[in-house]
Amino acid sequence: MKYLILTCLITANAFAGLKFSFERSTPSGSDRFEIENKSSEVIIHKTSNWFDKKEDLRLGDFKSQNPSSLKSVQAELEQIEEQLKKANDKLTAYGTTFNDLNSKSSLHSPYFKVNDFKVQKGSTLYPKLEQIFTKLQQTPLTLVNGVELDSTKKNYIFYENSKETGREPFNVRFFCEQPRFPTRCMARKWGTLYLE
Amino acid sequence: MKTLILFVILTFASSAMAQINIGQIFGGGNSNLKIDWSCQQQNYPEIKQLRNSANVKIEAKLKNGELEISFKPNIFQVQPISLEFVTGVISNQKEIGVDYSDCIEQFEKSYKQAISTYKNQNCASSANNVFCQRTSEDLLDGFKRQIRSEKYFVENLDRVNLPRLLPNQKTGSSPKEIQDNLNNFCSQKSFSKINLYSSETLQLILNNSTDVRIGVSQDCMKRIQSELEKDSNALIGLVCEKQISLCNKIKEANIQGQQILAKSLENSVAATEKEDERWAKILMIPQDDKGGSNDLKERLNKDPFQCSQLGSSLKTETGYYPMSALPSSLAENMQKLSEVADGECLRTVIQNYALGLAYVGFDREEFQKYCQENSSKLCKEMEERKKLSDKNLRDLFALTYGDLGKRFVTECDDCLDSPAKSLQQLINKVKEAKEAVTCIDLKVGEAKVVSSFDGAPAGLSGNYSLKKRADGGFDVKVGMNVVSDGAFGVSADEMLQRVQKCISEVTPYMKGANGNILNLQVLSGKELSQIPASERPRLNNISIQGPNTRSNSGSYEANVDCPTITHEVLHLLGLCDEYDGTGDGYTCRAAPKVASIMSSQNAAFEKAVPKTFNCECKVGSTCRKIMEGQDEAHKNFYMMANIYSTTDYKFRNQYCNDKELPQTTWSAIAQNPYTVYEKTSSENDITIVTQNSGDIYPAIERSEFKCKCATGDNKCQTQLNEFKAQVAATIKTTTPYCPSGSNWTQPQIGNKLNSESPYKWTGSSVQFVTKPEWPSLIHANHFERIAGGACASKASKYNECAKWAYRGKENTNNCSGKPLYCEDDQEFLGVSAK
Repeated sequence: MKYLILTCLITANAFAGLKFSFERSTPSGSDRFEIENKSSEVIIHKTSNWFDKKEDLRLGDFKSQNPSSLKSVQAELEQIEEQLKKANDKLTAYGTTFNDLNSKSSLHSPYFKVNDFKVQKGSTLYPKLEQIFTKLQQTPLTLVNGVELDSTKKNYIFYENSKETGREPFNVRFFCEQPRFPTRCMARKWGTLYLE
Repeated sequence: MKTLILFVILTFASSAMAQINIGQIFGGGNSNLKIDWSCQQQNYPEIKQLRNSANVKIEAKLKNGELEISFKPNIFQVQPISLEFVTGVISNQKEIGVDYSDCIEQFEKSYKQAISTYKNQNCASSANNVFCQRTSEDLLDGFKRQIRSEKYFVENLDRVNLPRLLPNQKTGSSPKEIQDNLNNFCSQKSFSKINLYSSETLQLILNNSTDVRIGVSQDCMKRIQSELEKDSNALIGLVCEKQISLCNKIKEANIQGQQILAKSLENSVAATEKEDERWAKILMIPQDDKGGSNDLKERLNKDPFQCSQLGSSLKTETGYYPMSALPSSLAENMQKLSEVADGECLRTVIQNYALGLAYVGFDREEFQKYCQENSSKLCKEMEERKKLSDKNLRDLFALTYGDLGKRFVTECDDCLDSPAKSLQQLINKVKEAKEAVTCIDLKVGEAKVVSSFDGAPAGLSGNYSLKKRADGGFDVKVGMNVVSDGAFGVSADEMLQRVQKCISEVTPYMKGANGNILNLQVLSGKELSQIPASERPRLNNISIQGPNTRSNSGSYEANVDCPTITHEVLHLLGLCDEYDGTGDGYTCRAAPKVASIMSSQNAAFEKAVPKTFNCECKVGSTCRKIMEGQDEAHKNFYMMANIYSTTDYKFRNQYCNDKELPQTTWSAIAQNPYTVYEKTSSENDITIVTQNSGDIYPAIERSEFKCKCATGDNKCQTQLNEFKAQVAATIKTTTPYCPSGSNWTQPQIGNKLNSESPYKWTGSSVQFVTKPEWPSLIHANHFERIAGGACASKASKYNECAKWAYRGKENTNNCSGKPLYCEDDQEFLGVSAK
């Protein structure tokens, strides 16, 4: 019991007050993989499979099957956030902010977000954040609330509290931008799937 | 002699008075106060001294209405006469006394406390008592008066006061008192010299001198040395002429004190050097940054210059260090940087420089504290580096303002006191100058370069050139350098060629409100170098997303289409995004209702750009069977656009549901040959039925879908009305679409068929050209913004609205200042389409 409580506390403290995400914004929509501490629990939000390194057709709110592994990145992210805050403070003396200086010619390229700070490729922090993100992506996840496109790609399966609550036929013409692959498909309120 | 006699009389008088019990005369109760006199002193046999300690009874009486205080024993009587004292008196030398001011101060504090306690405990009932009758102020006054009147303290100009303790003597003060006193001296607050020169203090300084973090600073030690020297010299000067033994005592004590302080200082210097080394490692300070300067020079001289090269640490003789730890390296190369880097690159350099400064931590609190207390070699060096770093940062900002900024950097070497303020003055100058120059209209054949140097006027970069054409339009050139690691088999050259092809095909459809052409060209770095410098814009670096973060299936990225390419290139001409920014935190963005290349590029292409489709029909497919048949009505039905291709899939996803209906046949629907028809409709919903040729001939697949808006959802309602219009248009449209079951690649831009027929059957494929509805792919104010370049007053409404495209409500006080006209498509975009 004591061990269980300690594990919960460790999990709860990881990412306390910190939000970290990899995202991109395009006219077609936003793609986001985000981790945050919500009501003392670490939740991973995935609104797109754009960033996936291997096929995973699930979207929604996940929790990690190995929460203690998240603790190792927490300290790194806190340090990075501190560095960003100090840099931002320095720049405000010149009437600008860290985010204001971001490139406007790569508006639709992916970027990292550490709380409110947006870090684009070209930043000295980008490689470090990439490493952290790769570590996070390796964490096996359990879908808590969301949707999964089944392996036959014929049905959307909806989940709540990790239990199936319903299904809907996956009509490519209805949900997708084009009737042929590769294309971009919407998954109700849960986000976007890029299908080959 | 006179003094001796007087002394004897006073002593007798005091003793006599001691016999009278004041309390008995006035009938009061216990009117005594007892307090301790404690005054550890040097042993000076040659001079008068008071006693070291006593428990003193203080009595108060009224004499002719005047308050008189007495001390028993009278501690201010000098010690019993010594031979040395007598010799000194007789020999008529300068009078020497001891400074008792700190002991008297302590005695006075004890007295005040005793008075207060006495009054609290006794004065409610014993009103007859002098202590109770008189106020605390009166009693204190009487106390002070008595002390001043004591012979020992009578002012004598000829008197020299020795400290009651010479340096390096024990005071008996507590460790806390010793430490507090030392801290007070070092922070220039009031302090006690007795405690400062005491053996307890000197030992404390010595013991802590090997650890800079807890030890007294060298500055403070030197001040103590100086104070001690000064005080000792003053005394020696006054005493040494005639009082040899006293003189030697003082000299010896001074030497002892100075020796301890010198040793402490020596230890502290060594400890500071060590601490400097420790800090140099933490702050990543190399011994010099010469190597760094050469490394930076090489990177800046690389052809072509790549801004990404400036992101990694610089190589010095002792290792790699971030640029911010090597301020001289950057300062020495600032000129070259200004020649090769554009505004975009400079802004990235500034960001990274600020991050580096935060990492290196010149202004770390702990380090600042260390330097305040120790003016070590490292601290002095860091002060210089910090100044140079601040100057570098200011210069980088200045360079983002183009030529005027470059002049500022070279001419304003003394603008260091307030870097930000002097930069603000530059910005104001630039704004004035820019408007004057950039708003001048070009004559035919004249060209100018629009630069990204201040992101003006809309906060967006723009690196392109403009040349006025005889027909009233503009030639626009954009330089592009594609950076790719060959991701998904698409090389940088291939991607550039794709971009160039797309833009060359699309540019005929980019026009202003009066039909003026925008002749847009994308040029490689090599092609740019061949045009005159006055018309040559800087190169824009574009990278293709590599496989690092994508899945192992990358065809989506590699197949980036022409509408998306066009959208991205238009960003390089200064146009902002117009799609709803809520999901990205850009809640102040103006998102027009009309379709636009900057909000929904595919929809805009549908409206404005003719496309030639080639839809292949495999042997045996439904497509072949229908197109090779004789039923023209069926062919027309088969080629009709369907609701899935003419409506927004995001709207369907969010507000609609579909269900499959039983299949039917062509003959069953031949009298109603539409791919969609409305079943029911009300204000906030619609139900439609779709009909399409299925994969298996001659089946007709059908489905029903319903779209509904919740009451009060205005956003949904607007989109639902648009959806209804699209349904109606789909029914009426004669524009064909690639039939289901056919294979088709990306359509070609433009009319490649030169045919008037709605479609053409080649025997194996269906070909058709879509007809544009809009006169231009870009809206009128897009054209004006591009043609206006960096001039804020041209396309002013577009510029004002575009400023809000990347801002959120949270840090702009709810988008305070955003013009209302930004919500009006006509005002914002000069919409030419209906």
